[in-house]
Amino acid sequence: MITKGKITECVLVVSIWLFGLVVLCSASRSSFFVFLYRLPELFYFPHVNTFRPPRLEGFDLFTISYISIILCSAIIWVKGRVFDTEEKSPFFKIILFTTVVMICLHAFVQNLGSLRYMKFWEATLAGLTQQDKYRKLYTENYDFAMACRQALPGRHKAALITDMDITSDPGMLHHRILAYFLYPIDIRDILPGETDCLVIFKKPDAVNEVPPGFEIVKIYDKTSLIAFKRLEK
Amino acid sequence: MINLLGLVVSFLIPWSLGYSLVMFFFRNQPLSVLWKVSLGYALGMGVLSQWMLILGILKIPFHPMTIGGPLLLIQVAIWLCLLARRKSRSHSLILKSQDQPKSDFVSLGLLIYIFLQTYYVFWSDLNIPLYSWDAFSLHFLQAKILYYERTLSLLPRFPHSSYPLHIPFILTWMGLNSGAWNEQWLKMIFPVTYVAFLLSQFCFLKIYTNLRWALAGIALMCCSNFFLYHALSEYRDFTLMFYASCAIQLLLAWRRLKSQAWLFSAALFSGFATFVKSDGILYLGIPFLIVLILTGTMPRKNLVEKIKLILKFSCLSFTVWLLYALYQHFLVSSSSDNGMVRYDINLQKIVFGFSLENVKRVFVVLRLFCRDLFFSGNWNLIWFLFVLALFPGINKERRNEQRILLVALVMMTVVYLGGYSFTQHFKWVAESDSVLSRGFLPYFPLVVTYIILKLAPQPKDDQRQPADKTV
Repeated sequence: MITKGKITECVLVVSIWLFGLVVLCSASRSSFFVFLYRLPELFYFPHVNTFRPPRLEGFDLFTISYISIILCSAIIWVKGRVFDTEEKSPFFKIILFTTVVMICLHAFVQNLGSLRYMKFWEATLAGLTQQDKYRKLYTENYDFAMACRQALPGRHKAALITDMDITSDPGMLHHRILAYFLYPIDIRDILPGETDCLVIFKKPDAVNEVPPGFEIVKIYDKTSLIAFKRLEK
Repeated sequence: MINLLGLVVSFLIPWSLGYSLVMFFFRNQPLSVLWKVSLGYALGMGVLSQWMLILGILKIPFHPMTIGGPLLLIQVAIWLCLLARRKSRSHSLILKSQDQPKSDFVSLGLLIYIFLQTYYVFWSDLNIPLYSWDAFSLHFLQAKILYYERTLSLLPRFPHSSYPLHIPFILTWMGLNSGAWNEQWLKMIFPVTYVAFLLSQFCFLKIYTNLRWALAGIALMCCSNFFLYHALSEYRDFTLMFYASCAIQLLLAWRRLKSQAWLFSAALFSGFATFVKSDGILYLGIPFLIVLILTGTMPRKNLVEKIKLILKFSCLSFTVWLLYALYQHFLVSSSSDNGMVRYDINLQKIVFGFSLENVKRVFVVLRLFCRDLFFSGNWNLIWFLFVLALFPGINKERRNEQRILLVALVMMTVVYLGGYSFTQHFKWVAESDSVLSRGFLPYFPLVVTYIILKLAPQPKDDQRQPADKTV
């Protein structure tokens, strides 16, 4: 049940948490209001399949949350006993309550962060078709792949010639994206049979990389092209 | 150009199959529509991917008719059986809640919050293009190959060819029905799975609590960044979580409600988990051990009956796992195609090392666990709340359910602790922060379930016989 006492306790939790942030900002000589504006982004920061912990100047903000929970719980417990009010909940129930309030507070800040994240994507992708979105996000990886598929439709087993380091990121990721959009032009040795085309990508002089026996089908730019094996007469 | 009607059909056929299977399994246990819909979705998708595996093994080309036709026939057969065995008691068509709240602003607030999170998931999925590493490198690429080739014969040449194929098969099925390969629309599978999962969690929590506490449980899950992220990203972990955690919850429901339909469903879910990710074998082993514990503590059954129950669970669940495992084994042993076949099992090879140095790693891994669970941006303060809920004295009811949940969580933690500390996979947690949390995700709903069971009061109408209750 939501009582006046519970609302007061919720306000107390939020106040102590904000006070903790003020102290932290003062110690790190940061503007509290600037920090408050940045707070949602700190609590909602997707990064490589995980979320970065919210930190200010290297200090963990979750620590402030935990300290606030314990401090609030202690205050409420003492208040209940010293001032002899009706509510004399055991300390354990109080700490549960303050934890739930803190979870709600975190969820609220996280949601503000995700809202901003949504706005960012909306601004980035507004008015674009699906192809345009891929072009914007994956630039040449997508554009080159589509150009190759248009120039050489159907299934082809291709050898990739590139200067990208595909054994580690970011080259490996670019390679995977390229391979995905290129298929059914296969550069990952999936299709059986002999190689019948060359995909040259990110070489300083792509044309010079084309060996004898191959005919250039499409030049994307100076660094990238696709070539097809000449049929033996 | 994508055929939207075909896309809708690609959901409807497995979903209706799953629904009819649920109706068949639970013909003696009235279930609410929400339960049938949520369980039906997961069952249907699981059966669909297994059927596609069988087609692939038999070298029958993938086509909407070869995949969907038999599934439709099975549904017709099930419905004919159900009509023939029609009971006089009519099944409930609406959700019957145990205690209707009069005017509950808290429940309304929770519902609005859940709706906003769901909107965010759908919006992200429909607007943000494919972007995850695993999608490009793994399951979307595998699905695209299957879509174009219509056969499983190239499996040994796939990137990560030893990985299970549940998600690639579902994506292929959707692509075949929609007539074009369009990632944006195929991604719909993920938010739909999210909704079905939330419904299943809601229905399960309603068995033990009331509307408000069930919604509170869903809201707790939704306020975890990582949970929500995996609902909208194109990883397989959310689907694994669906099958893995529901398998345990279905076993709890079996313990409470006694009908063996829950046991069969749990067995299927455990088996399907093995076909989503390689880690799924862990989420088959843990439910199996829990079945052993549950049957061992059944007072009214003799040894023969207990063995029969264990066999029912293990035959069903292990058959699903063995189908793909044996196929892979025979594929590898028979592939001597002039060295042209490549079989990538490097990631599956686990090299154990029991040394003093590795024992020290245990503390490193424990520290990383604590940092991830309590100080990362992934889980809100849910795990802290869970630790508080572990303390005795809050709510002593439902003690057995709490113990089973704890057993599952402890087993999972021990396996991951040992796996990361004593194998070559230590590097995945020591050098990267993108792997550790994924290990906790499959059983994260059980953490929330534990919290709710511990904190929520017992519903007042719990005096009714469980078998008569519409759940």
